Amino acid sequence: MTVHPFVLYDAHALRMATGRNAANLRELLTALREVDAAVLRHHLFRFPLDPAYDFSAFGHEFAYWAEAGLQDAVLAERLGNFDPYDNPESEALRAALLEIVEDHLMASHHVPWARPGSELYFQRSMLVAYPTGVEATDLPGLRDAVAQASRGAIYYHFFEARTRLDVRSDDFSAWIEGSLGLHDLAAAIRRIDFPALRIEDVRDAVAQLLTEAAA
Amino acid sequence: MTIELQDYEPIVGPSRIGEIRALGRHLQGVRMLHVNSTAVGGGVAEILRRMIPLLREAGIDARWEVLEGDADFYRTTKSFHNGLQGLPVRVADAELEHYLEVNARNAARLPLDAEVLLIHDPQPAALIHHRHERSGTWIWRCHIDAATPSRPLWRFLGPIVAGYDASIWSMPQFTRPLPHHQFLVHPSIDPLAEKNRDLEPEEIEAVLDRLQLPRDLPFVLQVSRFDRFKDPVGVIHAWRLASRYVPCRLVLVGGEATDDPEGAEVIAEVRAAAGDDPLVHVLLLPPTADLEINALQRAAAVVLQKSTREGFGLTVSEAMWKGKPVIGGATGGITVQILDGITGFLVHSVDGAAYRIRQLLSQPDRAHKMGERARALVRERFLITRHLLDYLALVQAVRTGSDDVIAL
Repeated sequence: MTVHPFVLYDAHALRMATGRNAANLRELLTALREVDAAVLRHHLFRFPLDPAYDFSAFGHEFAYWAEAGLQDAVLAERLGNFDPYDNPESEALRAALLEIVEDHLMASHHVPWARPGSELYFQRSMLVAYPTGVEATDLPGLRDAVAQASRGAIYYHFFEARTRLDVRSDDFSAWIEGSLGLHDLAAAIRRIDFPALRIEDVRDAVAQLLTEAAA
Repeated sequence: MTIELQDYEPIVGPSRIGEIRALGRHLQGVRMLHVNSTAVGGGVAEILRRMIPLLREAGIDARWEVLEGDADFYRTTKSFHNGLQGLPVRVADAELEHYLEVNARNAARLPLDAEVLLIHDPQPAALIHHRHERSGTWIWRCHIDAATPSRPLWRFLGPIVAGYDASIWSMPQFTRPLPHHQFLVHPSIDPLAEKNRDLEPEEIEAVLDRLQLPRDLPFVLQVSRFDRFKDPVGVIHAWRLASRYVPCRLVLVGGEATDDPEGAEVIAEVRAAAGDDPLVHVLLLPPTADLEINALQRAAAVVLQKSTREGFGLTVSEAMWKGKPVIGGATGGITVQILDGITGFLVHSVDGAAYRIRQLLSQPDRAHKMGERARALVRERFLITRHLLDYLALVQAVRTGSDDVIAL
């Protein structure tokens, strides 16, 4: 059987302004109703490429802003516990976010505001993904590729893949299962609870599982 | 000495250089033209001087041309600059005509047939009127905060800029409503430039000797133009409050205000606020004093950028790159560089600045850790290598179209 090589890609996000911002929770709610789905996807899925992600308790930017901008801990926790990867279809994302924010706003005695300078600026982004020239045809090769992969590469193959592939999978486990037939290893990689992890931690966790399997 | 990509590898790591080379392989020979208004002086020329050879090494056929204008033209475009930043300016019709004429003359002289044209700031913006069928994608790069421009000026410049295929801005806060993609690219510092390169301890000592700065106490530093928006008097008040608890010196560094009447006024206010306090040092250094600024930033215990209004404020990244925790006003680009409490402190008042000075001076371990995180953030986000990667991705994006994901 010919094994199709795993082609390691790198990725770089180009951000774009939308001209819109929110300074308080009501403005966030209105924007969530009106902005393009691409804007929601940027703030929900591309946050790991933002340096603030490494210091954030939460996996997406709406939750981060609720905490750091609005300083509303309850809203931050509720948004933070929302897993956009569970159903990454755009209108499902919008409906889920609206449900949380509307519910919170109705129960609030006041509308939380961000301090000047801490507003949320709505953006969208293009992800440019390109082959690095590194390819793997077996487990040790993949382990070496992963161990040296950049943040952009791990983001593309692990985080972004979950919104790209039809099945809930990352590129590493999809290839391990499809090309090497190693179902248990693939399942172990898919079980990594990544929204709580920094990109480097995800890389180390995948590399660790590959190292153990290759030993 | 020619600087090459590999010279950055020990600084940013092989992974970042690998990213640049890998993306560059897809862009071999793409003709890209940068046009700005000056070959020397100013941040744009400084970054282009280093960026163009790096783009070429990555595979792009990059060229850099400089607009030729006369004194009247540059007086007019200086008004444009001020007007875009919100100062009320009046530009006469004859001046606007002359601006368009100078751009037309340059359009006849410049090779505007590149695949990607990056036109920097308002001076050469009207070159777009002379696009022809051989010129590709026109992108306007605005280095200025143009969020609240003078209305009469924007009535003139807005339609010119709207004619571009895309624009690039340093921050979302700086943008104007325009009918095209508005990309966001932070400016950057060059770690190999004289202002940022590593210095030997003897080099630092020599500068401190030359500036007659005693080493008996740690010092707090602010490097900034003498401008009210940088709040140098507020810095003196903050230092005074803090130094009652933690003995330290204050060093305020800025340029001589040779052609800036307001600058001279601010220097006088600073001197008055400093009085004859021997612990306050006000240094007026020429624009060429890169080595001196580098050494001062490295020798400082804490660096301030207590602006009340700021563009991007790259002096913050310069200090962070030297492993310093920076206390910055919560405004403009400072809020992107300082993650509050993590890579520095954001402050909103003189008291806030004083409190953070005390904290950092009395907890050197905490300051050191914060400085390390600050340096790591700059390495990832605010060095020229990230800027280069942004430009390569941008060229790829405009060639491919505007999909959410462009997989090559």
